[in-house]
This record gives sequence, structure tokens and C-alpha cells, in this order.
Amino acid sequence: MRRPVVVTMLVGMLTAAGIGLDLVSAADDDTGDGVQQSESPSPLIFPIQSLPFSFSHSRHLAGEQTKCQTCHVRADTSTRSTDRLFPGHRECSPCHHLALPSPQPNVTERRTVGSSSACRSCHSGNWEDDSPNALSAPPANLKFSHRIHSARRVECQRCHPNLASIGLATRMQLPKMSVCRGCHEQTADGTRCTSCHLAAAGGTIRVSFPQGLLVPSAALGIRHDLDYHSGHRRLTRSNERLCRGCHRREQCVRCHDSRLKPMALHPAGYVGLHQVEARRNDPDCSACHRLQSFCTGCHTRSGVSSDERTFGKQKGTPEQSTSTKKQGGSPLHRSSFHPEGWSSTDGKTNGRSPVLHARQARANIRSCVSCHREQSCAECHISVRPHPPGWERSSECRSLAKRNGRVCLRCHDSAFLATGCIGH
Amino acid sequence: MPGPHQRLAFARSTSCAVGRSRRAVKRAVTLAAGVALALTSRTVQAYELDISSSSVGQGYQVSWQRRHGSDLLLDRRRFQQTLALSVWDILGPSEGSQEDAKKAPFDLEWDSLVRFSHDFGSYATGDIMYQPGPGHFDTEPAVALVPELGDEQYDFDVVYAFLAARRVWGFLDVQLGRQLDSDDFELLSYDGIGLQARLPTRLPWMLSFEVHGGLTVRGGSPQDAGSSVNEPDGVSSSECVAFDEGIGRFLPAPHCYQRDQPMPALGVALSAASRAGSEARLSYRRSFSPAAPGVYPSSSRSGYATNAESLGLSAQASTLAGKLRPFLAARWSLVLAEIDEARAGVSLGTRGQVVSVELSHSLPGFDADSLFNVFAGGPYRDLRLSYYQEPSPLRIVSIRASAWARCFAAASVGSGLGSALCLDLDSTAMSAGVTVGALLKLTTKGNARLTVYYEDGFGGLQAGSDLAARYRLWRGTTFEARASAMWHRVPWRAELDGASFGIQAGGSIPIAQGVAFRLFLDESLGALYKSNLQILGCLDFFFRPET
Repeated sequence: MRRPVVVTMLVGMLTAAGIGLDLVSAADDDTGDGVQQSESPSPLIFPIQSLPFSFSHSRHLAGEQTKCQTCHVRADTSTRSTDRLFPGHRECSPCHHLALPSPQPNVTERRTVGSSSACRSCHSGNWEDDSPNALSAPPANLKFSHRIHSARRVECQRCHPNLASIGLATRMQLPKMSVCRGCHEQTADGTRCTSCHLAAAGGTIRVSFPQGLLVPSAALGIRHDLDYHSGHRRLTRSNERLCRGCHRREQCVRCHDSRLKPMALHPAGYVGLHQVEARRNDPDCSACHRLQSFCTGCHTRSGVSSDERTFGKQKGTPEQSTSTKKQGGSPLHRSSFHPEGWSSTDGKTNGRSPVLHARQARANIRSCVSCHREQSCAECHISVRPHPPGWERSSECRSLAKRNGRVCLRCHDSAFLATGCIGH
Repeated sequence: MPGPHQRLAFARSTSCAVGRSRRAVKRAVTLAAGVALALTSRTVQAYELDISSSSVGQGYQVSWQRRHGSDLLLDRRRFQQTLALSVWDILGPSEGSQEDAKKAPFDLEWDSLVRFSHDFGSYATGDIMYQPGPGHFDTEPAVALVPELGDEQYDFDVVYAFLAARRVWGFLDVQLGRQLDSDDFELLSYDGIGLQARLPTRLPWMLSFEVHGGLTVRGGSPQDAGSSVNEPDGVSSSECVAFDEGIGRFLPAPHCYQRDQPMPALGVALSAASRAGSEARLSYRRSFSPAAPGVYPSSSRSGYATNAESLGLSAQASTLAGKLRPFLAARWSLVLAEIDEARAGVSLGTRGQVVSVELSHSLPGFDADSLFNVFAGGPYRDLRLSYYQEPSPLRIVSIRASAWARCFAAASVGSGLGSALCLDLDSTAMSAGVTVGALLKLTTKGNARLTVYYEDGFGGLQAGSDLAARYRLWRGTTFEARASAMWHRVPWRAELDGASFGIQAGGSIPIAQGVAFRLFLDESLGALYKSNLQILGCLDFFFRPET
């Protein structure tokens, strides 16, 4: 049995190594416009835009005369992300005399600009019916106040970098969460995700958008991947505060109260399929089930455990029943859950490994606890030593006896305790 | 003072609750709503609340593997009703601009979830005939022979119900009531108070101090309406014993009185977090309970004894702009005088891909009142490698692969180094597995997943595959399904070896604003069941008044 285990481990390690090499040498995904996929902000936060313009920030910001607020006049007073901060004709006209078709208001001309051909100098793209293509810039799914940041003298370039070296600003010039966290990581408001994210019911982050489902980035250390249902234990316990940003306690209870079987975790027919995973305790059953309540209750009722009263003896003629067993017919066809010799203490029984149940119990006593109650083990072990070698001299014995000596009284009397491990 | 002029319409749902439980639920909800409204200021009246209700009915069968005679199928019928009430921003304005949020003195919230469950059908309410002696047969209700069934037959739980004040004076969080929290190692459920104080944020590291105290929620606790799910494991509600002074030994008792004892719990923690995302936490917890009268010898020390006591340390760092994340955590059980939980590892993520490696150690530990602590049990240790591609709106296919190996050490006391390092093959057992999966995006409305796995070693063999899909149809209707096929081999249970097939299918249908019906079917075919159809129906209500 060890060879398949070793082979499996080697296969897994080689696969991981190969993937790791690929990780290092792989080319980035490319959106087609020269933008690295991993560097673009989430389209769920900043939806995809269509900006059919020709514009050069580098030319406009060259020198000291033009500042961001020159064109984005409403930025300093904007308090919501839904505010439209794109400059319009009114903001462009002080420098560029625009001959606008009626009913657009006329502007004072310092330099005459041509007709539609002049419009095309800014409104690029394929016009339809002599009309420029419409701008499409859905509002960000965020709460943001430019006014607060401006009042605190946060420079535009802090969140919108490299504007002086680009032409048309796109979503790539919008801040990613890593930029925001550079200031907001651990402030008084930093722990409240809905300070910036749109809120859903219960004060959690809204995660459902027409563009898809918002999931946390791996950069936050709380990845949501294919294995999340069975693999989120460490992530949630180390980052519970972050988890609460999206998840309500009610969502956790829905799985972790052992009342409703989560379909994503347990496949169909899990009642009949869980033996292997339970023997290995992988996944950890105690994450959702209390062994001495949930597991023993079902095992006892279904005749699996050692409580003979629930084995279902019948008197008289056999009942009409629907048997699910493949083996059938004669009574006593049902073998014990454990093989013969399971609890033998003589070390040699029918050629099987000595003290069979001892080895299994030592390896994973949780599997025993899911069926047996304390008393069923104590009935034998009151006369058969349950402790490992060296127990009396161990720190474990002394610690347990010191902190909770009454459990020792199940087998030992008070006088023994005085000379037992406590006396050492 | 009364709150704003808002009409609150409580969602209605059908219920099979008996009269006493229904009144209890109504009292709890009325009290919760009254507390929330009573705390509302007259001048700032933009709190928000939502009420959700879920009525769940389940039906399936469980095989009763009788030792004598043919097996029977027991009908299991379960009904569960949950009611959740959340009120937040009680003292603050409604969610709006960031500037408005600054004006709230602190956040005041109420969060609660109550649950009623009822088991009927032959599984819980049937009778069991047994033979206590030759030629003598008795018949008793199943719940009398299996007291654990009583936990769900008529069960009312207050899962959590607490009032929380956050950012009091800008740095203090307080929670009062029945709480459900987690630390680095386990879930905690207690009735009491929890405090967290954060030091001023101008430090490069933010420090916080936590303390909590109260009574552990137990299945048989005197606090009532408590679930045993998060109670320390290892002690049962049946096969109870008590010391008989006359005979001088433990004899069967009708009730496990020790489990009824109150279990105070307290804990403290100190944590530090950097702006870059690194964190460290040192914690201490202890729970204890008095000896139940008449259960233990009178000559023994009475008074309180420890049920659990531990020291915990955890740390995680975020380096290379969040791409490299090492972590470690360890818990020292003061009861067992050993490290009972530990893990360490690192994840490397870049370009939407993550590779991680983790070592972990787990030693079974139980309530210190449990005999299972004294048995010669050993820890198991894991090595896990995983790779996954981060799902994103721009990636159509995401892949995941993982491999793990687990070593079960036979005993923890007196073992040599070889056993501790899982090198002593005579005293250790091993198992391992690999899993490969892929997620395919089906536009923005759904996805399909394929997983293939193989696991072998200690515990048995199972290999198989799962194919699952989830798709959102029109007007919020969703459909999901999962088909699974598995080959398994269970040690010493040759009759269970073989192939199993299963399918799960169902979905959610919105009926009206805030009302949805979910239906799932679960059918399997295998060695134990030729057919085991499970039906689950759930009626969800959600109400959030317009503000």
C-alpha cells in the first residue's frame, strides 16, 4: 500500500514543479492593447468603457500651465463615484474654439475651428450618420469622494499615475485596490470594507454585478478557487475580519451547523460514501459535525455502532422490508462492522495484525469517537491499559491530572492519583 | 424613543412548530426588534435592517443495518425554520457618500439568527425492538435508546444574537450577547462579552488587544436554546455514569449531569498588523466547569476543573507586494502539554496564478472531561502542494491541481524521532492523494467544473470524478447540477467496495420580490444503496425596508 502513496506523492510534486516552472516562464496574458491582464483593474469595479476620443494628456500636461483641475473642473467638489467628471465642450472651449452645431450654445471664438472634420479631431472612430460615437463610461461600483482626498492634499498622480506620459486615459489609469490599501490598510476605516465598496444587505460588500461575481483577489491572501469549499479553513481563520466583509455569519452557519448538506462539498449519496474520508479525517469532520452528538447519533440509530440494543433484533416472522443489502437471505448474514479479532489482546488472531483496533485507534482516534462513547471503551480499558508507554512519567499525564483530575477518577481512585503521575 | 416612520413588515413563513416553540420564536424576534428600535436616536434615524427567513424541508432514507434480519430503510423527514434579523447603522446615516459616514459617532449593530428544527419520520420517531435477555423483548422509542436524536427532534436554538458597537471612541469594538466567532484554530460559541481595542493608527504597526468572556454554549447547557455543534467534543449525552459511594465504582446513570454544568470561558489576544498586510497574533483561552453533584467520588477535589486551555500563536506576512505570503500558526494545549495544532507554509502568487505549500500537524484533543484524551492517540501530519489559477472575468478556464500526503503517527508519548518524523514505518500509517480540476466560464451567467481525484492509503481508496455546472437563467432563476462517479475500497468492509454514482440537481426560482424557492434532488447508486433519493426544498424570504 505504500508504493501507490509514494508514486502519488512523486506525481504530485513533479506536477507542481512543472507548473512552477511554467509560472516563471509563462508570458502574460494580453488583452490585445498591450495591457497586461494582471495589471488592469477589475471590470466589476470599473466596468469596461468605450472612449472614442483622440486626446493627449502628455501634450496638455506639458509645462506648468495646465493642471488636472483645468479640465476636470468638478473633481475637487465631487463626492460620489457616479459624478461625471469627463470634461465637456464647456471645459474645452476656453482653449479650443469649438464650432458646435445648434442647439449647442455659441462660444466666443478666439480661433475658428472647422465643421465636422474639426469635430473628428477629437471625436475619433467610425461615425455613423454623421454623428460621433457615444461615450460609454458606466459609473464605478464604488463609493468615492474626490473632495475628501483633495481636501487632504492627496495629489491626483497618487491614484492616477503616469498621466503626463500617456495619450488618452483609460481604465488603466484608475487605481487598483493595492493603491488604495497603500493608505487605507489599517486606518480606523480600513477594517470596514463598505467604506469604499458598495454595500449589500447586512452591511456586507455587494458582490453580485451584471458583469459577474466579485471575488477577493489572491493579493488579499483569501483566494476563492475551485477547492474553496473544502480548503478555506486556514484562510478564514486567519482572515476572519476580511471574510466578514462579504459573508454574513448566516452563510457560515448554513454549512457549519450540520443541518443542511452542502452540495458542493458532499457528493450524492454521501451517507454511504463517507467511510474513507472519515477514517482519514480528511476533510475534517469536526469542522461541521460534533462527533459525540451528530456522528454517534446517526451511527447508533443505523446499527453501525456497538450499541447492541439498536441492532434490531426481531421476534417471530421476518418483517416485510426493503433490503438494500446485496448480501441477504439468512439471518446473521450481517457481519460486525469490525473484522474478527478486532479487539483481541492476545496479539495473534487469525493471522491478522496484532491488536488491530489499537493500531487504528492510535492512528486516528477520531474515527472511534464517531461511533463509540466513553463508556463502551472504558468497559474493556478499565482493566486493559489505555495509556501509551511512558504515560505515568509524561508531562501530558501531569498536565491533565493537574488541570482536570476528575477524568482520572473514572478508573483510578483518589489515593492512586496521589502516587500516580502527579506524584512523579 | 421610537424610530422613524417606517413600517416593518415581517416576512411570514409556514411552520410546523409546536405552540410553545412558536411563542418562543416570537418572543425572541420581538425582543430583538424592540432592542434595535429602542436604541435608535431621534435625530439620526437612518438605520437599516433586513429580515430573512428560510423554511427547509428534507426527505431521504437511511439504511438501518440490522444485525439480525434484513436491513430496513428508515424515513428521515426534517423540517427547519430559521429567522435572521440584522440591524446596522443604528446610530449612523444610511449608506451614502463617504463623507456622511464620518458623522456617525460609532456603529451600532444587532445581528441574530434563531432556528427551530424538527425531525419526524421513522428515523427519529420510530421504535426499536431489542432483546435485553434470553426470550425477552422490549420495544422503546428510538430517541430513548439514542438520546442524540432528541437534539434535533424538537430543537430551538439561538445560534447567535448580539449587540455590537464598533469604533467606539474610534478604537473600541464591543459585542454583547450570544456570539459565534472564530480564532485561528476553531469556532467559538459563547454567551458573554467580547472587546477589541485598536491602538492609534499612526504607528507603523497597528496593535489590537482582545478579550472575551462568558459561558460556553453547550447542547445541554442551562442557558437554554443552545446548539452542541461548537461545544468541545468528547463527551456524550448517553451511556452516562455516576459514582456510587456504596459500591465504590461508577454505575450507569439516567442522565449525563456533568454535561449540564455551566462552562465559563475566557480568552485574551494581542495582535499586530502592518499596513502591508502582515499580521501576528498571540492568544490564550481557557474554559472550565464545576463537578456535577453526585457524579464523582465525594473524596475527590470538588470545584472547577479545566475543560480546555491553550496558547496560540499565528503569523502571516505579505511580501513582494502581496505575491509571497508565508504563514505559520501553532497552538499549545496546556491540557495535553503538547502542540495539538500547527501549520506552516507559503504561497506564491503572480500573474493570476498561485502555488502554495503547507505543512500541518494535528493531534486529536477533546474536552478534558473526556476519557478519550488518555488513550494512546497520535497526531497526523500533512504535506500539501497546490496550484491554482485565479478566477477572473477575463479568464475563461481556470485550472487547479493539488497533491497531499498524510502521515498518521501511532502514539505521541514515548515515540522516537523516527515516529515523530513519520519515518518509522512500523508505527506510522500513510495516505496520499492528487486532485486536478478545471473551471470553465459559461459567459457571465455560469460555470462548469470538472474534478478528477485519486486517494489511497490509510483509510481506504477512493478515486473518481465530479462534473458540476451552475447557470443563471432568466430573472434570477439559477440551475445547478453535479454528477459524480467514484470507485472506493473500504478496509475490512468488502461488501462496500465498488463503484458509486450520484447526481444532484436543483435550482432557485424567484417567486416574488424577496421570495425564492429552492429545490434539490440527490440520487445515488452504490454498494450500500440501490437508490437513495433525497429531496430538499427551501422557501426563502428576504425583506429589507426601503429607506
